Amino acid sequence: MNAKPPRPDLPEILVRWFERRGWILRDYQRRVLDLATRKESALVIAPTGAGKTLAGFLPALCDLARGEAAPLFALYVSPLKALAVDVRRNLEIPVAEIGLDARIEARTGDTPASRRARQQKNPPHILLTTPEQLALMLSRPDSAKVFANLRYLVLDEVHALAPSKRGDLLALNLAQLARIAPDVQRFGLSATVKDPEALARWLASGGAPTPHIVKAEDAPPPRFEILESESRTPWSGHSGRYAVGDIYQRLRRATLSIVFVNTRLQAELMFQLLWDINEDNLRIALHHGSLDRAHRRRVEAAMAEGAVDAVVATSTLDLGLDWGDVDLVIQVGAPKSASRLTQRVGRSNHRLDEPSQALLAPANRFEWLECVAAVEAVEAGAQDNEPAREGALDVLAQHVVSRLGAEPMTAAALYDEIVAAAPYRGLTRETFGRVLAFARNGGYALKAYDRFEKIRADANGVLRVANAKMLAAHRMNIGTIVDNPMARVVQAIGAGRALKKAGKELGTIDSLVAAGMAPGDTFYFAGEVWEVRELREETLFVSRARANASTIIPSYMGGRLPVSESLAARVAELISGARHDIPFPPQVAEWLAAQADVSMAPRPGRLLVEVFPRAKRHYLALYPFAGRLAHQTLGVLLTRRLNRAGLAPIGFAANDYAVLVWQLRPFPETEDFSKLLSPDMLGDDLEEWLDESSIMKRAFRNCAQVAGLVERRVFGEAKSGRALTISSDLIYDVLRRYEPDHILLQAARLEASREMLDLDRLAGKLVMFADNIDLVRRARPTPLAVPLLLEIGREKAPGNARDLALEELGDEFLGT
Amino acid sequence: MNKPLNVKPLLVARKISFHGHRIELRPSGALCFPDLSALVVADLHLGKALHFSAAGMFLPPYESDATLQKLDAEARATGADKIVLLGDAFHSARLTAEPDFLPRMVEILARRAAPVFVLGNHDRPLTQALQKLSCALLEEWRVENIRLRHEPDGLSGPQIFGHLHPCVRVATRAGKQRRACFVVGAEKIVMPAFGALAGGLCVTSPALAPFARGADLHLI
Repeated sequence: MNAKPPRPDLPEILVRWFERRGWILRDYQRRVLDLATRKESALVIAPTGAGKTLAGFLPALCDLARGEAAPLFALYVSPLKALAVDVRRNLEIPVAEIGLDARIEARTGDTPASRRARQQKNPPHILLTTPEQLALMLSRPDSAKVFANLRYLVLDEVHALAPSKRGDLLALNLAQLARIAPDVQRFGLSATVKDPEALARWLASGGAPTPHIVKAEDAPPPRFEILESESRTPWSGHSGRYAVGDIYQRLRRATLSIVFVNTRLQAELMFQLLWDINEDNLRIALHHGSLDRAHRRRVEAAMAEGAVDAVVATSTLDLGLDWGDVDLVIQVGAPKSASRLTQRVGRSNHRLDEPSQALLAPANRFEWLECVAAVEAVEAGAQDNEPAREGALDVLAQHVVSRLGAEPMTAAALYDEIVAAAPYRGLTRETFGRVLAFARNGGYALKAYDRFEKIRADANGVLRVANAKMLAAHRMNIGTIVDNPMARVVQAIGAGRALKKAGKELGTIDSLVAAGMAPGDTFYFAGEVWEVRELREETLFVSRARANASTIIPSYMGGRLPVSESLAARVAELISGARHDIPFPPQVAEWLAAQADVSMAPRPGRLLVEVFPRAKRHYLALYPFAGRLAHQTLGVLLTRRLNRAGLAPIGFAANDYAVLVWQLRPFPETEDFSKLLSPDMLGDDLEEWLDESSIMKRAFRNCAQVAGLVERRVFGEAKSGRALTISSDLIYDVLRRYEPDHILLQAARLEASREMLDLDRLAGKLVMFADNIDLVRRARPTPLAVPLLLEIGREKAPGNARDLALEELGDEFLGT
Repeated sequence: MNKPLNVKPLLVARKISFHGHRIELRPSGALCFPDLSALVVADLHLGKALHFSAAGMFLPPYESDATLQKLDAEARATGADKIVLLGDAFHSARLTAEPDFLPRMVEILARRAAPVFVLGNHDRPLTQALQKLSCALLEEWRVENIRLRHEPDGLSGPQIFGHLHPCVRVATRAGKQRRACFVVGAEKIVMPAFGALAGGLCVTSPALAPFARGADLHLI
């Protein structure tokens, strides 16, 4: 591409530093450097711990070593703020040791406003930041000046970012950057993905040349072991409590272990259980997303220094951080996807030439099957499917305002820039016009708000944000992460009026969880026991306490995990008994035998349906093993049918293997189940039914916040007394009734559809089952159904069940 | 905190007697004095969406019409010839920025029955604008010894008021539900908000707890 001869080698001082450290450039790192010298871009695909980050920064380090660096000549973007901070620390080391003159700074949501302002005015040489902070910087009128010197853009964990709303926003920002600094070289860093070409196209957003794909040498396959405990493995539950003794023995033998669990709740519990039996006084730490940042930092530092023996962690530790010498990774509970498992196992043995090792501890007998399936998937090199992504319209609505805040431009120029971003390639002019109209004044058919336009056009058709106040309010809402409202947990002394903060802030918990606690309740948090003194506004004041019989572990809403479709078929095969090459451990065999005894095992090509009552409700469990998306759609359709049949469905939960529906009324003996599943149900007005589903309402809530229709609840801004926030559900109801084709409903339908399988594909799967149903009625949950009863991610069924259940209350006296 | 509450579902209209008067509690959140042909509603918050749009939050401009349609249906169903708006009929003073808005709302309100405006904290700043439209404005409306106000005034004696937007969480077979409610005590009745975008406040919160104690909660 470039006629100039490449400068293939590292500057001398870098070579000497490498030698002192005993480092040798790997082949793939050298290839990245060669591409950089030829002014080209690269998508670097390498497993965790293979030195990807170094590869991405090599070109920038070379420039620094040659004294060719200007302020903000290199920008690094990571999905995790912890990662940005950590990479900054790791960069400081070579820069200081080599004696390079460079300012390297991180910028995250936690960076003080004064420093952020300074960074905008007087940027460092290298800035490490998050997509949200980049979007914020790019929304300012001086952004063209700030990024004028930019030469290198390093994007970390792009495989995690690209298929998400955050990735949509980042792609739009890449397109904007391409205009400001067209010659920037991009280095995307990614774990192994199914379709690297698609990721490379995403990385080229903004019309940049498509980057070369550079793959690291293959690492030896990881080595797995699935725990077979002597203790009784439960049929259900996710705690892994039974295995804690076995896990502890492994921790004793290892130098530094990470015990990965799937949710914060499990992390708190596992941490407690391990300390309860910690006879050797192992240094065991806890790390999860609800804990205070300072606490997490201390744990991370202790890992790097070897000052800790084991860490119980959730996905906050998942992505690329480099954690010193971890020699054992334990996964408690089934990993929900092959990719996640690969990533977690990559935590151990950060050397490419040695296999990583991991122990999988299924939390229940069903999870044993999932563990086997996940391991087989990883060994077969299977990667999770990342469907091609159409950019979210709420993200676009947000970006339009940010973009015009940075620079007034015509609608045509704006459109051209947007369709250069990979996720928006297919955006029509018409849809763009509706998004723009939304950003302008709501875009309603009823022209009510022309007086209050957020975006104004001048005589030449140049669009700009109407006033500084609106732009400032908009900036408060930049970003696409919509969290549940959280309450702070703060240590306190005194009571009533004299209650005051004493000591540190411990972290945050879901406000709904906090609201459910009363003074005097005790609970586990951050690995200790606390007593609630008072909940005041959004702060839970607590003091140290002793555990008693009613001490609870608060359950966190953050436990919902993405699951992988590909594992379902493997599990179905295992469970049907078709696989004779895998010997089941006795406990799993016993559980499956119990299922066969009490009910029956699901058979290939047939659909098992179980009907049973439990806790005053009536359940239907279906086991199609068709993947979560198909089951979500099936849940929506089934509850509609059941509602029409007068059975008052309350809700449903879908996972990879099954869908569970519960209702107020029993499923009649005479009802023909196959009718409920008959494919002609697909002719039903699904659109309408979807619009009533909780999946759609949730999607609308997210879209309304991201698009700026309602303001995000900012921490510490909770109003006392009357809640002044407007419920997005109420807005949804009004909008659906009066303007069902509004662009924001379209945005929400797009988002909801990502959680569902389209009807044609579902029909294909259902036709197969229609005449092949095994219906089993039992008086209590069957062994196979027990794990389902604890499934998270429940959806409400529309219909009259809520009114009927309310009616039942009659004159009963009830607590709130 | 966990004291039991007397919860009654209100899925169809219920007649109660309050200080010698027949009152009908309606699932819409309206209350009716059948003997006076009067319909009482609180906290319509008309123009809430318009209010927010001035700050760049363009909520659907249909919520006022939705509320008025619901009110019209209630007026028709009860045959009321008088509608008492128990305060906060309008959301804010900013609404005068859109000159057509108030006249249009008042005109729609008057189509079926004569509106009587009891002023609330949100619409008191609109006093002049409403007077210009010849609206009947009151601080309170009386039915013999019952005083109907926007907010309670702390005095004893029977009162009916809104302002607090009561709602309650109850556990049912279909899971926990949060429902708006009438709070009916021996002396005081707190009405739920009638407006489509009005939101609610839990009866256990300090502002509502004194009225909810020992009262019947009629859930709508």
